[in-house]
Amino acid sequence: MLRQVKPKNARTKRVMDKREPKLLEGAKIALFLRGNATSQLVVDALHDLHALKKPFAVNFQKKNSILPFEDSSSLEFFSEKNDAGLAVFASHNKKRPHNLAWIRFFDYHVLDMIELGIVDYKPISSFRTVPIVPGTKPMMLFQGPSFDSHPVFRHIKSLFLDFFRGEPIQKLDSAGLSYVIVVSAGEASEDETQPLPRVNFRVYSTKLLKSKTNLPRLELEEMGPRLDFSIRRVQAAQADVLQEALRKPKTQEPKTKKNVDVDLVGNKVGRIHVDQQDLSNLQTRKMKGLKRSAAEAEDEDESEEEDEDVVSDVE
Amino acid sequence: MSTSVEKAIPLEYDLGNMSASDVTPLDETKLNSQRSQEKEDYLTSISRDNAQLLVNKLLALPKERTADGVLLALPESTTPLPRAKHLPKPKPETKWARFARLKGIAPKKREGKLVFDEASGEWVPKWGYKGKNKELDTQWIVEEGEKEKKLTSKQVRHSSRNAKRTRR
Repeated sequence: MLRQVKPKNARTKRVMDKREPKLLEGAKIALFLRGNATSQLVVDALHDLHALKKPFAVNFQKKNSILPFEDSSSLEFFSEKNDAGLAVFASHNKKRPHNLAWIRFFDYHVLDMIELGIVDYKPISSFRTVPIVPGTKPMMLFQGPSFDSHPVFRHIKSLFLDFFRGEPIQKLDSAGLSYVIVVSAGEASEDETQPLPRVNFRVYSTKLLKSKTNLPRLELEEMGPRLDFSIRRVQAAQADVLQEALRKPKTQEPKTKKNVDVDLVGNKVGRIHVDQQDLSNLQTRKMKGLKRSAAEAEDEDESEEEDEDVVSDVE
Repeated sequence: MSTSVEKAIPLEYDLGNMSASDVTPLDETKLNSQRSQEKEDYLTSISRDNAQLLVNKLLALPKERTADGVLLALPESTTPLPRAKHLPKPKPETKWARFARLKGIAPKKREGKLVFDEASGEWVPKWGYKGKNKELDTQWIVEEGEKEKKLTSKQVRHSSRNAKRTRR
């Protein structure tokens, strides 16, 4: 962790408040870094990915001697300084040619990493289409059964969705359906020794044409970049950290009360549950007139005696 | 030019992220074909079909027609994606915030600069350029007795100064 900066003026305070964790997050900022040795191909690919990620991207030109899978402290420092949630690290060596390491951060610590080697590449400049407006939200397609079943491919799907989705928006202009990113992969074989299938990354710009129905007919035109990846090393996220990262904020919706309804007329109807009554301790109405006092009890006794005398006289 | 696509297994949509997932297995021979053109054509055709379905779903969302164009109301995203930072811890309420909440004091809404002028039936600025407070200064006809009724801007300034003096 870097030293805590105490804001001395309003401007720095505003910058610090911008970096505060929020309930609803915007787009993640991605860092584009280069390693000690890079090839022209991987640098061009990095440049194209930066173009797709604009304006939520920071491009570093200098070389950094970082080995992501050995020591990630340097990457975490960069992430904290630039307030980045994602990073792409380009490197090239004999063992891993044209390598891109995709890193995700949570609270400025590495969450998970995956290394994808570029097997085939065609830059944006080789396609003759109109470039997209930076900041447009792309449509995304994931084709292939492995994106649902295989853990590595699920990681890739989550990564690409997170990377390219842009800012969460509520209302979309229908003209904003301008381009689509398609990620396809074949089926991973049951045999674990077999290499995993290649990941095909394509970007198409859309053309909506008139059709007989209300819906337009879609035509795709490849816009670039065209990348074919082979999957190399993977460092999955730790379960507890991932669980913390996936936590959702408590929704503020008012809870609908059970047993309470509004009937057709508009009356609020409810059901009240009452405990069972203890019938031995009931409080009943008291009629004072019916109470037997002490005087009355004596009169009754006297009248009983008189009766007895009468009977003996007759005999 | 058809807009409908037949699909054995329907796609899984996440309209909040404008994304869709197709679980149908792809043709391995075409994917691993040596001829890149065959591979690209195959990928493009599959992608076109899936994208058509996605666009159909997106355009079926509730629409709002505005001056800028047709806006679609996107639902919330369904795929769980990890956050970049932890959830913010709820801060304790300040003494004033608690008092205001209990008393029912709402924050004062800014009135803005414009005021409705009955005479002209228009919204005019209260002060500043063409402000209503300077009306009396620029009026070419002043009714008798109006000088006492309405103070001009200069008089208002002076009266406040006098009020401060007399308070002592």
